[in-house]
Amino acid sequence: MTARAPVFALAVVGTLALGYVALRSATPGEDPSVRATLSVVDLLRGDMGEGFARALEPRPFLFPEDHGPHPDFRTEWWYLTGNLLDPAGRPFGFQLTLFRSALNPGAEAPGREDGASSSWFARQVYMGHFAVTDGEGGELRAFERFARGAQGLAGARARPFRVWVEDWSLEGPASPDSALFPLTLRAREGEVELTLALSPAKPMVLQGEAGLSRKGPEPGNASYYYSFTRLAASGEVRVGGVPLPVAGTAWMDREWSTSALSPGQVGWDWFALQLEDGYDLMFYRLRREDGSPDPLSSGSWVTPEGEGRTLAAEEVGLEVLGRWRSPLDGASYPARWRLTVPGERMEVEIVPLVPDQELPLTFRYWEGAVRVSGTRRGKGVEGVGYVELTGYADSGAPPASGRRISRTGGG
Amino acid sequence: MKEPQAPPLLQIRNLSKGYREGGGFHPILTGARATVAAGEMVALLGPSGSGKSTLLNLVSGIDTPDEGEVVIGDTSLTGLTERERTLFRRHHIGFVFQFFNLIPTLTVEENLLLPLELKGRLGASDVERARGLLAAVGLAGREGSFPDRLSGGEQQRVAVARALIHDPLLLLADEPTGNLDAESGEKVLDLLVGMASRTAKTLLVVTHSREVARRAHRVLRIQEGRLVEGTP
Amino acid sequence: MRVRRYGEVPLLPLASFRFLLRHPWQLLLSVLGVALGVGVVVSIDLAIQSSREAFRISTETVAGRTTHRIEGSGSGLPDSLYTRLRVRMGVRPSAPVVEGFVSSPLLPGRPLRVLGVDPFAEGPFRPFLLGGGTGLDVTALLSRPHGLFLSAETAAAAGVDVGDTLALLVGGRIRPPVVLGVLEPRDELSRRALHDLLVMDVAGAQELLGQPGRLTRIDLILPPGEGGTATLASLEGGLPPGARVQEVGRSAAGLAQMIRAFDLNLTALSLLALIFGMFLIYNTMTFSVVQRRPLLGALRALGVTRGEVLGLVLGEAAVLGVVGTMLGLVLGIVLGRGMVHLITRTINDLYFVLSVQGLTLPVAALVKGGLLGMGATLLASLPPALEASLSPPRATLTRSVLEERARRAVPRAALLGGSALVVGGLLLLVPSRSIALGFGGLFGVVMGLALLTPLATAVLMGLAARAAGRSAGILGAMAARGVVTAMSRTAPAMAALVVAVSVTVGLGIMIASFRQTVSRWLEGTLQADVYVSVPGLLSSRAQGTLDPGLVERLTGAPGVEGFSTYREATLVGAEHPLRLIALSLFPRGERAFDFQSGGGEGGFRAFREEEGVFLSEPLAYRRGWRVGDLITLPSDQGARSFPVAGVFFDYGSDQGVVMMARATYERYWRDRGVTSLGIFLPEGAGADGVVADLQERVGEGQAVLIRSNQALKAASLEVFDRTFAITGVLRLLAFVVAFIGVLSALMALQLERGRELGVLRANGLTPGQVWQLVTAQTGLMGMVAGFLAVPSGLVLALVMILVVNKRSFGWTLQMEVGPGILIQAVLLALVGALLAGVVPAWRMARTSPALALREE
Repeated sequence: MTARAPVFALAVVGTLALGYVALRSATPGEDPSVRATLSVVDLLRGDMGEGFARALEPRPFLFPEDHGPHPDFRTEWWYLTGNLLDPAGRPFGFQLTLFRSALNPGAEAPGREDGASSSWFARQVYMGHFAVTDGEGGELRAFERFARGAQGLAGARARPFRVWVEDWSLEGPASPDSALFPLTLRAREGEVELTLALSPAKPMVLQGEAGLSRKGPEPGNASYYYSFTRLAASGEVRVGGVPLPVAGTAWMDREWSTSALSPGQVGWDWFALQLEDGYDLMFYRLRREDGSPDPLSSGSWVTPEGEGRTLAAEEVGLEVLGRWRSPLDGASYPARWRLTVPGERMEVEIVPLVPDQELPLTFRYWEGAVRVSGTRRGKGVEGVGYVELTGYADSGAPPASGRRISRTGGG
Repeated sequence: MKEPQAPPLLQIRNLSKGYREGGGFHPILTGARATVAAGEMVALLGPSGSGKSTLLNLVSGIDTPDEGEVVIGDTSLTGLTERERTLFRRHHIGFVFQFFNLIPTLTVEENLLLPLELKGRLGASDVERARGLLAAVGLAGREGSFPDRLSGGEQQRVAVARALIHDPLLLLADEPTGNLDAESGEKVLDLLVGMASRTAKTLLVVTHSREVARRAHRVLRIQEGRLVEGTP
Repeated sequence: MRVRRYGEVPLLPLASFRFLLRHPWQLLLSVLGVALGVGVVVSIDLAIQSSREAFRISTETVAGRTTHRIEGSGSGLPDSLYTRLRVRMGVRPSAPVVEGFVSSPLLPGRPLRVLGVDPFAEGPFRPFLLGGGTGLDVTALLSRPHGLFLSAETAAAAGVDVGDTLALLVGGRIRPPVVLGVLEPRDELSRRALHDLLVMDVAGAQELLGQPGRLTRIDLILPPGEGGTATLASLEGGLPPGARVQEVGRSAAGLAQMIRAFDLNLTALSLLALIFGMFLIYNTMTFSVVQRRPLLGALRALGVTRGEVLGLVLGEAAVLGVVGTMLGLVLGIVLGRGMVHLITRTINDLYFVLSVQGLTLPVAALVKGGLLGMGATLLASLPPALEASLSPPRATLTRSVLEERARRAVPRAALLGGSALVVGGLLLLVPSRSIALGFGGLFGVVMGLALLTPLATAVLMGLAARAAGRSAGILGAMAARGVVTAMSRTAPAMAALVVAVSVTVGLGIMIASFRQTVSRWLEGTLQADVYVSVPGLLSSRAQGTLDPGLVERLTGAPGVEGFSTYREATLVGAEHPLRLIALSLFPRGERAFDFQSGGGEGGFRAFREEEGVFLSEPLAYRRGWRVGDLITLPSDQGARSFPVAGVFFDYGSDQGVVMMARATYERYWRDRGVTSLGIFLPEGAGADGVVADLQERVGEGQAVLIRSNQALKAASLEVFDRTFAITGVLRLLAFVVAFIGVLSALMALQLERGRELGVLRANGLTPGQVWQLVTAQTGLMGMVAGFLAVPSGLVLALVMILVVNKRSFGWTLQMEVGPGILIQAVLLALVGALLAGVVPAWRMARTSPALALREE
């Protein structure tokens, strides 16, 4: 089953929210009464998937081309999270996600006719989420951004590698042989700024079935998905004040597809853990409307050498030890967990770096840096990671889009 | 002719008044003197242009003398400002004009009430008083009429009532019968004299009429700018 | 009989009130006078305010929360600049805007503003696009960029709904964008901001308006203080040549500046109506005071103080004022609806595209109008009220004494009038460009003429009496003498009549001179035989671009000897928007220029070879530029200087225009379009046949206007007449008020003579003879006023042409005086005066002499 379906759903929701966010005042504190109710967003209807390519069976990946965009698929993202430390040991978490979403299938931008020449016609729209958690300040700063994939405002390309939403970007070396690494991450909004050089500490892992991550029983209801579960990161972070040199580890997911979540799923808890002994673990649990975990939940286990294997839902135990209430509306999120993988004789406790890592964006969710400690095969083990929790807050997006999460991608 | 028995109400002290006309100066009054006792009725006689109206203007404070002084009761008009003289007139002097000078856009009753209203706010008793006076001048039932519906004699009777309604110290009449036929004039004169004496008002009447002069207690004449005691 | 409860209504005011009611004609006329005066002022004020409000909405409201704008020279900005701001420089909030005006056959007469935006960038700028109703659906806009959003109101007016196409006329072509959504404004401000606004995606707007790759501007929201200054500094360095950052208020102020002189002139004209209304009040109150003189004397004798008399008369005036002002406000609102259309039309013809959505009724404007009406009424009543309060107790002052005094005042008034004339003249001679000073001088002249009128009347009436005595007997002489003997009444009436007629004459001459000048100028300036242009929204200027292929087809047609091309651009980077025309002239076309200075052989050489420019007269006047000066214009390559080679007469725009050789233009500006063509035919060739032939060659595609020289001239004059419609209307209204004033004064005069006429009737004058007497007198007054108005009118026309017009609009006009307008003036005064005599004559003739005698 899929590894990172929750994120896929997030992208869908995000796109749904495009219409909303664009209309909303971008600057915090501006008139909150300015809200547009969304009319039907044709783009995201199930039947709009027609004309797009679908992930039907495993395919050979071709690099560097596959690092670039796949415009025949409806949705795609470049997803980076990581934990950093400054020389004084001050911890930071970061997230930079760049989403691509196609407006229409087909090669041509909409509306191009009789030799039209406006360079603003767009077939793709892009969305970015950027967040930095300051472990010492106990604070998370999150931003979002939208732009059309035209006029140079946002876009993605494989040679030389670059994905950007205005001045948030992931950029490979400018060399003609077009490697992905060293990858440069740049993002800046107001007084928050992050610049990182990223290089792989482990090889790439194909998720699911040789990179095909199935989401449902129907053929084509799947995505292509690969990850770099451990990247070495170094650079500078600024959260107000002066820039601080930082270093640490990051995790990168790449996924593209055309269809989304199954009906009846209301949210998910997603974990990406990097242990000191070199092992990485990814696991997510889908939650159904009745509160039970979905049997489609799954994960993967990656050795220090980069060998990955799929973890089925029943191979992982997850117990919530504590909860946290959102100051925004009192929504209750799980905030501490005990995760066990009996097959690996692993039992760890997962604690957020700071409790409040809720992203108060158009689509509200909790995504934050965590600390891991426990035992594996009888030895004590520590680690860092990232957790994503969705479906706990009601508000933040127009009610219509909330409902639509469960409707999209059913077929 | 009777001697004045009461204290003097009006003292005319050495009044002089003249007018500039063209290049020259025409003296009208040159040191006129007289004293009128309270309750006395005095007729002022003299040919046209002799200064009767001028004297009346000075006595009423409408005009100011070049020299001399007018004292009414305890008040010397000479020391007052124009506004003070106007207010003095409002409270203490009643006027009857030759041409009646009723306010054409006020009814008979309203004409009567006007002096009272000028003195202060009207009360219900004032209306009664006005009606009483109207009845006294023989015009009961005409209170709602406008002046132009009245004959000259009737208008002048209203004017007499108006002059008396606010209980003035001094009543001034300028040719009150001059614009009326003999019969009406007689009637008006009866009223004026009768009511003045009934209410013990001091009355100064400017007139050409011997008939009027005959009914006065005393007659004054203007001769060469001075007042002399005369006979009717 | 009505029973009054005493103590409620004081008796003195009651007496006054009844007095007013007893003279209904006077009451009616003076109330009407105040009402009309106030109505005209308020209507103009409201119309101006409405147009300003519309302007404010079209600039500020549509600007939303924008604080600064990046604007380009004539042809806008390259859209790569926006990308650079967002991707490289991180300047945000920032929003690209593509803007233009189009029209739709479904919404005739309504210019539609196309606003091309990037929905992702819009949020912070124009929340009204998004709030309420369906709001902008971003994905729909991005997926179907040729579609548009519009307000429910506009959609309803056009009869379109979501999914329909809205036919638009853009640069001569019909385009059918689809209605993607209907915006329901959330509040009044949004409603007005959305009025006739078509919202599109940047891409669609670029295509629709035919400007791919260009943005009209980039809107910015800069924080106040240091942050904003820093961004501004970093921006200034990064802008391409020709682009600049401007505060939103400033660019709007520049546009608003354009119509200030126009507004000022309208306001001055409307105040004229109020001044005439004041004459009317003055007359009425003077009349009522003089009439009640014995009564007031009696009141004073009864002990009513001077202050109370003053209050009484002013109180009466105030009642008239309140009633008249209230009526005036209502009238103003009614008239305002018409005025706003006239004003909008003129603004659209002369200045810029403005869509006024009807009358706004700011409370302040109504309060102002109310105060003005009351103030004018009380001010005009003050002289009679003072006179009444100073009148001695008792009726000692006879009518003859009063008239004696009035007669003595005549030379004094004349002296004062002479001084006012001199002061006014001196004010006009002050070398200045101040329009207010010009109007001040004009006011002095008008006052002077008014004050001189009584003397002139007395002299002329004396002559008339002598002449009439010989020819028309004692009755005729009586008519003439009556005017002089009743000077206290006739003087104000005559003065009002003379001023009213002379203002009418002056304005008439000014407009006629203007039209004649423009007509002659058109004759000279339209040198080509046939003109080709794109039908646009502003009738005074060509807009849009001719298809290059079409230009080739038309200029290559058989029978075409040569052609000139014109390119119009607006340079917005300058302090105020500046109109530029790039010319490529057929040699014969050079004759079109009539130079005020410079020009000629040398001027054209500089124009062709040395990047010289020609300035229109208003522009040169406004900026104080002269031949030989170097002027700096914002080009696509940054600021560039050009020498002035000539200043030419031009009446096309009061904002003025810079003319430049096409070669010069192409050197510094990127734009290569052609706005219009002038086609020259061989001598003697008929234009009409060629027009038909050219029309055929246009074929499908772009709709263009092909007009012969004569047709274009006729169309231009039509626009001229349209722009002056508002002046004509004001002239008429001012005259109506003055006329009513004169009517009322003369009527009062004759009615007051009731007793005198009664005596005459009693002495054997027949009703017919009374008619004759009254008519002769008023007619004589009208005639004299008419004759006096002719020279006064000429003086006013001269002042308006040489000073007011020049200072307001920068045009030099040749004064044209036809006999028609002068005859018209005399007739106007005569007819007005005769009409004023009708009612009194009729009444006097019908009344029994006994009754007239009895009236005291």
